[in-house]
This record gives sequence, structure tokens and C-alpha cells, in this order.
Amino acid sequence: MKESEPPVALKNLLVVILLFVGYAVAFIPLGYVLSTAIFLGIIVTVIDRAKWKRNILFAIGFSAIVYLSFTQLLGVPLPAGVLGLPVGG
Amino acid sequence: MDAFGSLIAGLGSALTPTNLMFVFLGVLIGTIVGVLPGLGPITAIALLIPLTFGLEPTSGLILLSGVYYGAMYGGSITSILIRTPGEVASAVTALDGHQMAKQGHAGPALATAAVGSFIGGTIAVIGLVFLSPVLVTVATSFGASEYTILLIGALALTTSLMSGSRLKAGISVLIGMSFGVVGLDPQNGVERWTGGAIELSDGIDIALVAMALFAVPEALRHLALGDRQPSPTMRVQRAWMNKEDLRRSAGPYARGSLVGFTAGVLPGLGPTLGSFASYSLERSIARGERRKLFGKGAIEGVAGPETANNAAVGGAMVPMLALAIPGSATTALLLFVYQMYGLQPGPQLFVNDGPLVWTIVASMLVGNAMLLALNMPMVRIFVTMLKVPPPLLYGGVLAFVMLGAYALTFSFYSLLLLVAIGLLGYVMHENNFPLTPAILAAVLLPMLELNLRRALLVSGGDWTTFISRPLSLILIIIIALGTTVPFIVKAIRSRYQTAAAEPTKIDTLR
Repeated sequence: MKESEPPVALKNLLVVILLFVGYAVAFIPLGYVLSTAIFLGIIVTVIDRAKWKRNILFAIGFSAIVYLSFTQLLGVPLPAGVLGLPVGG
Repeated sequence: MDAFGSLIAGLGSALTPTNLMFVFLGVLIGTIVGVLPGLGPITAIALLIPLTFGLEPTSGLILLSGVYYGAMYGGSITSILIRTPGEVASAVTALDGHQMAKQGHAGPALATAAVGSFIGGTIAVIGLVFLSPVLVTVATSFGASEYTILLIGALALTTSLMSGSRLKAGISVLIGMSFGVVGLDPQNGVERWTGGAIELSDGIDIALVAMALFAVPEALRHLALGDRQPSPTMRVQRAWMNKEDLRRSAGPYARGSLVGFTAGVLPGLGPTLGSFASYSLERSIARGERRKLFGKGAIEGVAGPETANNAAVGGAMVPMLALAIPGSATTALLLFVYQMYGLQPGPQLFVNDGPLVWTIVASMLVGNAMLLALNMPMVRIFVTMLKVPPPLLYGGVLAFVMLGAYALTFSFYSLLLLVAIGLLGYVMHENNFPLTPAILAAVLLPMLELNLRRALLVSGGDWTTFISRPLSLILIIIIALGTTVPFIVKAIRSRYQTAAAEPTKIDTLR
């Protein structure tokens, strides 16, 4: 199966890895919502710049919905970070 | 109580409203995640583990088992419609299933897969019910040295029968074992490979390893490729299987169930071998015109492997439950979940937690039926999952695994480990290292260590205990044959049959 997969451009790969590492580092200090929104916003926009409006909406929507459902519904505390959102539970 | 009676009792408790709800949730979530291109059952389970911490063991295990076969089925939808299976076992379905879809038979292809999954899953549960008590009886006469041999055998089988390079599979086993070494020594509490970090003294979470090895490489790869649009999807019409389809599928269903279940029971192989073997079998017994259809949309090529695929799930549960030796990467992860709930699979599990085991087994019967019922009205809804733009999908996957890793320990170390092991997994994936042996080895190493030490403790440090105990010696011989015979058969075959060999797509897939 692998043989049929197209090769990956090294430059793109490095960008993606850098963003992923940055996300891990920022996760706790910046808090879940902010770090996730920034990470998703950037990574999706890097790939598809034309649809930046959709990307921003997705980044904010995803992080807010996931944060709320985990902290409020499932009782899993997530880092509140600099925004000082309720930890929930 | 005999196995059948226990199953009926289990069915009673699997049908309570709460448990029914968890079965439903499991198969629904499993199917949805399985449909997402590139995501398979193992990723689905790893992502859901943090969510099941707060649940009762029964509910949590019912849910995650449901996710397992739900995701297997979801993967077949993806294989048929866009040829991007979430895991290797479904790759075979893609061969003929996608051709059928191209010819406008997506509906019948999906229906064939759904019915096959149901039949395979159901027959496997029945096999599980009858085989596991037998295995449990055998296993009660096993001591630590037999377990040691069995565990080594499981790891050896993973490398010897895995498609592709044996050396790479072996390296993968060693990498997995080294994840298992990290943490406190179970007997004398010495810190191993922790670098003094207190966070590492509990060892590396298997769920984290699974996410890092199976979800991260796939996501990184797709994001780096930078696809903006989802793969074009076939239109799914309402057509169900007709009489001719059913007639042609009946044989493959029966054979696929048998082949799949048997392959699933073997450690380290599971669904992948099952579906490959079933496809080869169907192709080799097809005659004349039928045979030429393989690779060009033969319904038998969908029916057989899909059935085998799901039968193997039940088969893989047998050694996992009865011996605590998982048959596939996903059952290895499930084994970890049992341990997380404080349950140790093995003969004792059937004695101490019989009702729980049978409830979970019975829930698989219920879940398979539910999956079939769910598929008919909802397949079009599942298909819309295929239209999610790739950047959003894989970006979301990375965000989810990061959250999953954090929820395991609530520490920065988990995030760091996820990234580090994820990058390692990416390098392995790109260089065709199989990842299943790594996860199996990571799960099996602590058990191997425990049993090896125990065996040597009993024998007073005498290594001949492994060959002087008759049972242990028999196991050694079986494993030695199991690992060398396929090799020899292959060598003989290539000597006599080079001219008769017909290279086809399935061979290039391996």
C-alpha cells in the first residue's frame, strides 16, 4: 500500500512538525482553548489559505465546543491558561 | 454453568437499557471514526480511553468493544467508496469493493460488507463462547514458564508472519519492548529509563503509545501532503443485494467466517491475515469467468474478506480473554483497558469476573445485530463523514490526540512523549516498519518479564526449566514449527512454482 502513496515535501513536513511541537509546548501555559484555536487556525490556513474565514470559524468552534463538552459534560479538567476560563467539573 | 448458559445469562445483562445504550454508542462512534479516512479501530479506541475512565468497567468495556467492531465496519465503507482504508485489514476489501462502486454498485457492495460483517462477527462470538472455556481449561495447567514461552512465541509469530520485512518487524518489536521497560522495576522498585523524571516512573501509557504510533503519523503525513479537497466519493444508491448477490456471497461468508476466526486466534496476526487469506482462498476456488472478475469488482472478493475481517475480531478476543495474549494491535490495547480497570484477563478472569466477561461477549452479539440494523438507514449519513476537508480532519485528529494524551496524566510529560513517539512512529511508518509488533511488544513486555522472573524464581535460577517441563517443551516445539514452517513452505514453493505464479494486485499490496 505504501508504494502507491505520494511522497511528502520535506519543507511542508517540517512546518507541520514544528506547529505540532509548538502546540504541545503551548498547551498548558496558553490553555486548551487558546493553544488549540491558534494551532488549528494556522495549520489549516497554511494548507488552504483561500478559505481563511472557514478556517477561523473551525478553529474557534472546535476548541470551544471540545473544551465545553470535556470540562462541563464529561468532567475532564483541561488547562484554562491565560484566558482564565472555568476549569469546570 | 456451561458456556452456552453463561452466554444466555450474559445476554440478559447486555440487554439492560444502560448496557444497550453503551453498545449503541460504541458501534455508532466506532463506525463514525472508522469511516474517517486513515483512522482505524485502534485510533478510535485510544482516543476514547480517557473518556471511559469514569465509567463502570462493564460499561466502559462494552463501549470500547463496540467501538472496535464498529470501526472495522466503518473502515469497509471507506475502502469501498474512496479506497483509503483506516487499517490494513480493510485494504483487501478496497480491491473489489471499490471496483464495484465504480461500476455503480456501491449500494450492493456496502450491503455485502454489512451482511458479511454481521455473519462473521456473530459466528466468531459463537466460536469464542465455545473455544475460550477450552483454552481456559488448558491454561490452568500453565505455569510461569509456559506463559513465558507463549509470550515469546506471540512476539515471534508477529515478526515471522507479518507481511514485509522480518527484520523491520523485529526492530519494531524491540522498540515496543523498550517502551515497556520504562518505569519502576516491578519487583525491586528500581527506576528504569526514567531519566530521573517522576512522571515516567509509572511507565508509558499504552493508550499514548497507540495514539502516537497510529494516529499521529497518518495525520502528519496528510497535513504535509496538503490536500485541500476530500477524495471524490461514489454516489450511494439505495440498491440492496439482489438474489444473485446473496447466492454468490453465501459461500464466501461461510469460508470467510472460518478463515477469519482461525486467523484471529493466532497471536500477532488477527484481522489482516484473515482478510488476506480469505481473499486468496476465494480467488483460488473461483472458476473460469468468475476468477477473471477478481480485482475488477467480484462480489466474492468483498464478501469473503469483510466476513473474515470481523470474524477475526472475535477470534482475537479468545487468546486475549483466556490467556491475556492479544491477537492484534487493537486487542492489545483492549487488554490494556482491562488492566486499567483492575481486571487481569486469563483463566482467573472467567472464574472471578465471569458475569462481566459474558456480558461483554453477549454485548458483541447485540452490537453486531445493531450495526446491521444501523447500517441500512444510516449509511448515507456515515458517507457524509467522507466529505470533511482533509486539513480540518487531520488538524482535528492532532488536536484530539493532544487532548487524549493530556487527559491520561494531566502532565506536560505526556504531551512531550506523544510528540516524541509520534515522530518516531512517523519515521517508522514512512520506512515501512510495521507498527503492530511495536504495540504488541509494549503490552506484552511487562507480562513477559513478570513470568520469566517468576519461572526462574521457582526453578532457583535454572534456565533448563523451560525445556525440562513437558508442557513448556511442547509449546517450544509448536512455536518453532509455527515460525519456521511458513518460511520453508515458501522456499519450496518458489523453487517449484515460479512458472505457475501469477502476480496480481494482492501480491503488490503486501
